[in-house]
Amino acid sequence: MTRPTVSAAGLTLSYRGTRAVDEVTLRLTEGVTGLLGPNGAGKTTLLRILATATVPDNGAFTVLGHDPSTVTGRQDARRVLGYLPQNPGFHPDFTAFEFVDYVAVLKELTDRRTRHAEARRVLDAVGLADVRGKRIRKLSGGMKQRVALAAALVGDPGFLVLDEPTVGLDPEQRMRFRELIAEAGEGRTVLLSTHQTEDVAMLCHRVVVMDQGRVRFDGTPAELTAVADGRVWRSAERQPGARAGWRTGTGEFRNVGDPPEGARLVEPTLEDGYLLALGGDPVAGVAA
Amino acid sequence: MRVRGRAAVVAALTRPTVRSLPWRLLAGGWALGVVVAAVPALFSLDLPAAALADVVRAAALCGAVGTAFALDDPARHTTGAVPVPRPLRQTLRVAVVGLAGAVWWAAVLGAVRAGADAASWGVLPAGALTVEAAALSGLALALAGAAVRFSAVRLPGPAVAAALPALPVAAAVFLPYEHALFVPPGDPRWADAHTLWAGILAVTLAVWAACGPEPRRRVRGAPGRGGGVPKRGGGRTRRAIARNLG
Repeated sequence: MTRPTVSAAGLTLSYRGTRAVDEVTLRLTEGVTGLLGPNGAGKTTLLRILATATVPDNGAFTVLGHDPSTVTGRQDARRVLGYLPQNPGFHPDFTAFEFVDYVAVLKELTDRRTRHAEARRVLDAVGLADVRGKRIRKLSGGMKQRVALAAALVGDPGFLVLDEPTVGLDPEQRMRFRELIAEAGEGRTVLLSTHQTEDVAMLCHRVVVMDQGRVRFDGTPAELTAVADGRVWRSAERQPGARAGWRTGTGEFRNVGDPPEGARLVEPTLEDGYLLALGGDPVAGVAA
Repeated sequence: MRVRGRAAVVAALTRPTVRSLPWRLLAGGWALGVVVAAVPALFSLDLPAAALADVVRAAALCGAVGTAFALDDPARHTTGAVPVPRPLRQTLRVAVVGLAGAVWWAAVLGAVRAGADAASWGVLPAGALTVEAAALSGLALALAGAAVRFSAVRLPGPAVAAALPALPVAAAVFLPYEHALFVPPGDPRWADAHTLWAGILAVTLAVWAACGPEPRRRVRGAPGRGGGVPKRGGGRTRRAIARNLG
């Protein structure tokens, strides 16, 4: 088995009496792991904990062998991780280069020549070499996301935490961003939070589904799809017994759940497996 | 990547810190303060020392409102997981603002002096009024620091700037006569009032400094941070930790 780079056990964090993250246990390995879940599932909170941006009430975790529960451990962990938050903010009067250079200083790259070379490298990596002298306020939303990704990549971190990086991007930008994430996942551990099952299908070797603060599924995308084997069917009418159902372009309903006898079963998708993994008890394949 | 010492970080961080400060907002408060301080000179008002002291206080309050924006950081979350600790970053911001603020305060006193006759200026205790101004700015920093420490807000400045003018008014209204903060020069309560001002300065700076470090343990029930659950895990949690982290 591949040695985990990030291990977490029993992570719990409550907001005003609600458990946003509830006894989450995870082991992440090299490659891109997708974190799927509805709004309010606790994804961002879990990512903030693993990025050391917030502190859990309970539980412990290590990042590439560093324990962030101590001051020095947290600093050491931060030296090996990159974090792209859900709504990254910038100093709008900085140029893309100046901002990434600033983040490089905050990542303790104090030698000017090394730092500038690193800023150029990461901006090149995200395809912003041509606009690195442009003020951030003048960049498009997709370009700003790429500046934030470049900032997260500074210092070549071994663990990259990406919180919904493709939200608000048009299809072309999303495609470009997926390529960047796939490249970033080579040789490092990437934890990618997303609402998009297509992101997971295209990028991830592993997927974790969260709902109501708990891990509902932990396995490969193929295993998540397999959760829906024999549980997706088409019908002419809405099926009241289905966990989820929606009208398709053909006018028929596609249903997910426990099919009635004689139902016209169809090939499941990752999204079907995801819908079945939400709510209720953890489904087969779950590791937590 | 080579990791250098703190001095090298501070040296490299100074320029981007200066660039990242909200200078327009800071300067707005400070400019208003200078205008207020220049009113006696601009309108050739022959004010007594007590009135001049109030002019200086009004200018100080304008400056404190500007200082409320010193910890505004739109990139707070993007730079939320970097090894350079928050206290160092905040201290550098406050040092830069403090240096600029010192120049501004000298300009305020210069503007007041330009509009005051020699007798009034002679009895105006500029040192004690400087302590008052520093305490007001310290209060702005403490409130902004607490907002950053106990919430996820990126720009605490607007709320702090809005609240700040109410606090001296409340102090004037609610503090008992013998503990008044805003007393005229020569008043028998002057020494006690300035002992209190010095105490406020010390406490507000201590609060700001205490709010700097990022928490290792969450504050129970703190706004935006939840709380209300036991800090230590039960047996199940501890066993899971032992199993997974070895």
